[in-house]
Amino acid sequence: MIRPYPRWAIIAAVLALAVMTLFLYTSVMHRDRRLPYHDSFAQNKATEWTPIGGNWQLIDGAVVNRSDENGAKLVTGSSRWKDYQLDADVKLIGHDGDVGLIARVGDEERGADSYNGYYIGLRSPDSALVIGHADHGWMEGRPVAMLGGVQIGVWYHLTVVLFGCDIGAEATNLVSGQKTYAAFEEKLCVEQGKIGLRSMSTGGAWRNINAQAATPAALVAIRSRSSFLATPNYPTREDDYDNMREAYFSSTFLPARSYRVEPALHNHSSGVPPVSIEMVRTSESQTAEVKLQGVVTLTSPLYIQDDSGGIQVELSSPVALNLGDEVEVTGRTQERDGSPFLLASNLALRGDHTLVAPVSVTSTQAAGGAFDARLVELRGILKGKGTSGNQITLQMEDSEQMFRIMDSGNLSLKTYDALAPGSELRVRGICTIGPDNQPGADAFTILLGSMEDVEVLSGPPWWSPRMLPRYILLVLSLIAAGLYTYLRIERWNMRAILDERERIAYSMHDTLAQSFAGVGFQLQGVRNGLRSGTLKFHAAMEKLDIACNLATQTHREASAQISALHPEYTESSDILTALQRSTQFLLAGEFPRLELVRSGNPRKLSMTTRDALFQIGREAISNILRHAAASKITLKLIYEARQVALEICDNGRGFSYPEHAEDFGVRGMRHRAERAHGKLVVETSPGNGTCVKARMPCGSRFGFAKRLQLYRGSGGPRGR
Amino acid sequence: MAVLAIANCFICGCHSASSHRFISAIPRDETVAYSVSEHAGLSNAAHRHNISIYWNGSSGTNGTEQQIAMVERAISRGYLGIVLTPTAPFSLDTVIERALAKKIPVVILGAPISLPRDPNLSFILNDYQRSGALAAERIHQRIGNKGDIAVVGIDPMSPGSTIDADAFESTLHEIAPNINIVSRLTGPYSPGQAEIAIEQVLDEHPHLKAIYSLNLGITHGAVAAIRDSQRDGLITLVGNDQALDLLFLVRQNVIDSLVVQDMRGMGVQAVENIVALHEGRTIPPVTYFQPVLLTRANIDTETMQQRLKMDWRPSP
Repeated sequence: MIRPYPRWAIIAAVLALAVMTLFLYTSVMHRDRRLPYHDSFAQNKATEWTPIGGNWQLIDGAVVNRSDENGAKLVTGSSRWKDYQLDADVKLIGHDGDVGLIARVGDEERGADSYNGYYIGLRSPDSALVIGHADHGWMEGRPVAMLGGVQIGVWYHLTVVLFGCDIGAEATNLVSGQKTYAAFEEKLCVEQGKIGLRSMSTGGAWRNINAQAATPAALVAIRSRSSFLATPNYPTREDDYDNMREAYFSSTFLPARSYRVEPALHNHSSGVPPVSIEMVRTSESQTAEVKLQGVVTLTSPLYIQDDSGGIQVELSSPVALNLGDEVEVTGRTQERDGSPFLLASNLALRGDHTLVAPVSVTSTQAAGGAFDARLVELRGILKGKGTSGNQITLQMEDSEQMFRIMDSGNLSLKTYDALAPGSELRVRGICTIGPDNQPGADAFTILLGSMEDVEVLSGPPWWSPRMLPRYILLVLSLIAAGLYTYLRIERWNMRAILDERERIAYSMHDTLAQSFAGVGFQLQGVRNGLRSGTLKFHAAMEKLDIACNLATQTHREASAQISALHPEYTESSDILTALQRSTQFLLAGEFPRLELVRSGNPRKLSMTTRDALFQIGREAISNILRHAAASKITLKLIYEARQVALEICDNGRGFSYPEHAEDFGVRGMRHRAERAHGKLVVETSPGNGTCVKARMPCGSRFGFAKRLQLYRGSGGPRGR
Repeated sequence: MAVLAIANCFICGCHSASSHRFISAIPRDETVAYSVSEHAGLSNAAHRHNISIYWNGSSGTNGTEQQIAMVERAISRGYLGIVLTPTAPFSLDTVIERALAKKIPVVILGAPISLPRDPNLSFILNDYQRSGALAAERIHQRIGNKGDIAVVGIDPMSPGSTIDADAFESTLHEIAPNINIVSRLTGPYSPGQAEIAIEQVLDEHPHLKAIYSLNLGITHGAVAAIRDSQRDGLITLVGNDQALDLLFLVRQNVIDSLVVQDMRGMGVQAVENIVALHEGRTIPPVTYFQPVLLTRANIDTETMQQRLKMDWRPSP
């Protein structure tokens, strides 16, 4: 017999399982996001970083953003990091922007100030170290004029300490050693969040990123060296900004700088007029130098583009450029595997923030070569993917062509991992018909700036031959589960049947068998007495009377048990009607006057309730007929809002309760009522009749465990 | 079921304020001072109606696509309304019409783009004719009745720009017919390109007395060009729209004046339009706001500072 588990134990077990699952999930997801943290850029690893906008690459142990996008971000860490010190080296690549770190970041998304957290950075227009709070808008907390200015192309070390609601920053020029400090306290501060890198309107580079638990001493070290603000500025009016500028930047603010060339990059061969890129591409290689003007469309390798076309540029020494930079390049045209490129002798920066819109082409147009070295956009289906060192390669196909997409930089791995073969992608990059394209294989290659230039238009179809084994496995698993469940139910069903048979056997043993034994004993006594001649007439009649009574009683018992087993009395009939029919069987025609009373709105009762009420009623009536000597039995069925009550009352002799409860099966009836989530009350006293009242819920309110228990037939009275 | 829901929420990282009412505000450039003033107007008005503003605009690259994505986000999330300053005149028509088809009120701010009339569509525009007239009057005031001037930054793809330029010319012709427009530069230049182009104009016209610039980027280039040409103080530069550094240059007398839109007022009106539509009230399809001329003399007046106000945080 299986002991039923209480409902509360099952709920507690489910809750415990859910909590454990959540805990395990959290631990697994955040196993690598504990402090201290140090980047792995030197090992060309950055998979824990999430790019949001920008054009991010790993170069020489640093992470570089080549885009002028407003608010390009790279984020990592845990949203639960609270008080920490964040260190990093930062460098501005372009002009008119700022580059720095973000801390206690949450709600991050693409956009200039689209996050909630703190920004600490170096701003070039006013040569400032600035700390502020962004919450999908910008609040400038504390700008400080940088000693020595903010130089383009120079590495600075930033240290940011967040402790409680105090924020402090130290910026060190790694060339000159000059240090600048800023700090403030914010009353209602952002208390925790991730770390990140951010650039605004210019490209930037970061390296040596460390995050560790902050100490009060670290904050004090900065605070004591800065003009600490108890409340951040957070200017809201133009004159607030003007006052702030007067206070901090009167000597360093130089707006409206020239956008022209840096002196160091000035072109000395200014007499050569520029030609169009298309002219260079269609001419033979020349020994004379040519000058081209174009916009940077890819930085690594370097490609520039003007209105006529695009071309790759090879530099003798690296130059930090951003996408959108306008350059003037002087050099000699060369050719490699049928594709021209410019071997540059000089490069000058003419301007920046110039966007080149990609041309939307078909794969056949791209394969035709007309868009070689140009920024294009096209669609295709991802057939496969692979990595080789830092290089990511996506094999693509559409109805007409097969082509390849290549990207370098481990910052793309998250996006790369998420791409599923069979997906339809839209990609943007430089189209090349280059040396890696072998005849008969890929028609062309698209060089990506970053995996941000890959957009998933639709996922793989749910049906594919590759998925077939999985679906078969799933179906087989479902069939196996169904079979198992079916077999278990059948087993439970069989057990219930066997249990019921056992109960019937015991019942028959206790009643019919005993009764027949008694009849047999009496008849045997009469026979023996007649045979021996010792039995007198009246004694023989007495024994025969006993035997007849026993037989009659046995007949009644047998009829009662048969009626209890007959399903129609419990399923289709009204309970009172079923009980009335049942009493007919018990007395074979003679019974006290039976009164049936119904009240309330009849409603459907659950099988369990019906069965319990019928059995209780039958037992009570049986007791009345056997013991009460009543002339009237009242059966009352009362339908209430959610419960139903059955009252069986007689005007018989009554009995002492609870002393004789065991004699009249009250315990058994009470057990039946409790199993049906009901209650049983007996009202009786000697000479005053008896009322047995059972009340229980109408519908099925049993939980799964209870149903299972009932179905498996465990527990309950066996009618012994 | 409750446990599974909580677990799902935790794993999916659901946000806490998903039941709040939102208006999506999509500026062209969210960082510039005039956009921040718009944000301030939106936030303050929204706060009065217990509405939140979701503020996010183009971040520079793929700006139009970003704006389209944000409009679609507003549609999918069932926002109360959309306030949009399109980066391009036609590229957002389809997604705007999709929003209108879903009965989401759309307010186009600042840019008179061409869209079919719809009861849920309204425009809140700067009076560009007045902008041009203000600039013409200022230049007349500064240089007198005659002289050579240039108009730079005319964007043929922007109806507001052409209205502004036409109004400038017609007003100038009316009040100072002897002032000659010797150069008209068209096209959306980057600041660097503008600097080079304007330098060329200065080289070609050594007696140039004034420049009227029609957008922010061109004004930056014009300042750099004037400085590079060492003509500081000799050329009156009148620009359009405000950025913090340009306002500083007005204070420094590098820029003579700026025609400033009432972006804050437009932001307030945009929220009121959306709220009115949800309450079943009708709204005018187009509302014009008057620009003013900001100079060194009036920049510190309370009226001007209120127009420039940038406090986008909801008032307590």
